Parts: sequence; C-alpha cells; structure tokens
Amino acid sequence: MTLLEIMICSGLMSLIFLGTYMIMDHGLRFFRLNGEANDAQRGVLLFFSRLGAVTQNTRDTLIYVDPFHAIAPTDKTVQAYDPSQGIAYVSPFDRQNQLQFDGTTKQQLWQQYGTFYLTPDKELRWVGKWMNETSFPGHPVDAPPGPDGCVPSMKPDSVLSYPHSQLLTRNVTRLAFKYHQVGEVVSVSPPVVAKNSWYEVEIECGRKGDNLSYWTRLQSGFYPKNT
Amino acid sequence: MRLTFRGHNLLEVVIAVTIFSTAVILFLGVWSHYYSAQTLGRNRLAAASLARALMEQRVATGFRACDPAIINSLGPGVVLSESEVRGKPTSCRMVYEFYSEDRPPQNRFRRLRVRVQWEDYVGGQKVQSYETYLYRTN
Repeated sequence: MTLLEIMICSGLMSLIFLGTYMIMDHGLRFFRLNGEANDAQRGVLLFFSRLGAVTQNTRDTLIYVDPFHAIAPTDKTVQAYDPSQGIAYVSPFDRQNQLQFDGTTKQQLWQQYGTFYLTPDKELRWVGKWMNETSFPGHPVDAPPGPDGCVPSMKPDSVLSYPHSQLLTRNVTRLAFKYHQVGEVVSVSPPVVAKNSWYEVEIECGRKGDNLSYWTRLQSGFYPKNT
Repeated sequence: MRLTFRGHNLLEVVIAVTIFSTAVILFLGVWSHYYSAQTLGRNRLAAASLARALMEQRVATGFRACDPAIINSLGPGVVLSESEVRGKPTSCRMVYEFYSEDRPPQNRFRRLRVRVQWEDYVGGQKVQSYETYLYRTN
C-alpha cells in the first residue's frame, strides 16, 4: 500500500466516522430536547387541569388576571391579557380540601387564595395562602376581598418572594389570557353563542424556530362556574 | 531484500468501506423511526399525565364533591398543543371528560372515570382512561 492509498483510506474512514458521530449526536440531542419538551408539556397540562378545577369552584369577580384592566359587564369585546404574569383566585377549600360553613349564617366560607405566576427565571409556579394566614379570616360567601385586595396581596407580581411555592414548569416564554363575555359569538357557522363567560389560556415554552431547542404552545379554556 | 507479505490494495479498502458504511447507514435508519416513536409517545405520555392529574384532583375533593349531578354537567375540556423539536413540527388535540356514577343499591360507592382522547399526525383517535372508586364513610 502506498502512502497515497493510506491517505485515501484514512480520509474515507474519517468521513464515515464523522458522519456516524454527527448522526449519533443529532439523535441524542433530539432525545434530550424531546425529553425537555415532554416535561414542559406535562407541566403545562398540570397547570391547565389545576386551573380548570380551581376556577370551577370560584367566582368570576374573584379572579384577578395580570395585567389588571376592568371589564365592563356589557362590554362584548374580547379582553386580552397578553403577556400576563399570572392569575389569582379565591377558593372555598381549606388545606384538607374541605368546605367550611359559617356557624350562624350557614354560609359557605372562602378559605384560600391561590396564585399561578411567572418568575423572572421563566418558571411557572403556584403559591397558596389560607385565610387563617391572612388578615381576612373566614369571609362569608358574599364578602371576600379579591386577590388584589387581601393582605398580604396575592397579585402575581406581589407573590414573587413568598415561600413554599410549587414549581409547575420551566422555560415559559409566554403566558396569555383572553376573557370572553356571555353572549359573545364563538362561531358564525354554525352559529354558537357563549352561554357562560370564559377564559382562554395560552402558554408557550421554549423558542420557536430554533433548531437547537424546542418550542411548545398549548391552548385551553376554563370558566368560573359560580358567577 | 524483498518483503514477502502482501497488504490490502485500495480496491479492497474501498469495498470494505462501502460495506461498513452501508451497515452503519442502515443501522442509523433506526433513528428516524425512533423520532416518530418518541413524538407519538410524547402525546401518549402527556395524555396519561393529564388523566392522572385530573383524577387525583377529583379524588382529593372527596366523595361529596364528586356528585354525578355536578361532575357530569361540566362538559369536556379541550387542549390544543403545537410543538417543534429541532424544527420538526407536530400538533395534537386532546379532549378530556370526567364522569361520575353512583353504584346501587346504597350508593355508597361512586365510580369515577376520566377519559382523555387525542388525535395526532398518524390519524385515528387514541384514548386513555383511568377509573377508580370512592367509598362513602359517613
């Protein structure tokens, strides 16, 4: 074998090994990114299911969405909260997931404030405060202050430093809500009109169009049952 | 002095390289199937995760909160999902529903069932469902 032949052989083998390495590297990166996308998707689904469950047990007027803007009851236009830092609500369940009732009026008590919020590190977190931990213990059903009126405030931008928050998912790049009024035309053909007011939620994780990363967007809707 | 052993010539090396590279390329073709399987598996995993989360939340609220009259009136929820991993786009539509049913004769058992249905690019409807029973103790 001449030197030239050895060089050609080495070149061919190097090309094969390089190609194999690149394919393996591509596959392993895909595997890792797919795992990350999967984690993000599951975290967001957990957020959606929790949000759906808690809002079914709250009241329309006890939901605070960041950034705040007042919604006129007769306004049929869609209200967009985009981008949003989070959403807060009042819930009737205590730490043991039990309902409690006022001893004399027999009214159901509101017992918990909860907030889903985005941190500057792009983490979606949840934090809850029960009424005996705030200055508003045991409000009857008709008189609880909203999440922005309680002390300490449970607005998404106020809870960033609160301890004992739960991490739901990471790498959230966008969170948005849309409020739809009762009577709003949801679909023209076939004609569908909203029977309840409802919120549309949209969340994005990762970066779109980046071949070295992942991107995922999930959309859903939820409505407060007790209006 | 003349050497008596023979080495490989270039033709032999080229043939060997061709055979080797064909085998490697065929083997690496497994990756493309792996991509598809992972993407489909992701939707299944997400559906299972959603179903479990829904079930746990309902069970945590207790027997009375899972009254069929309340639960069965809620209607289905929908989640639309779009994803891109290294530029490969996929989308999925999930519909989830929760059912509750009392079991006679004394209605002390309550059957809870969550059903998540989804469609992906392969086509066809896939379903993941979980069920459990709650027992009334008071």
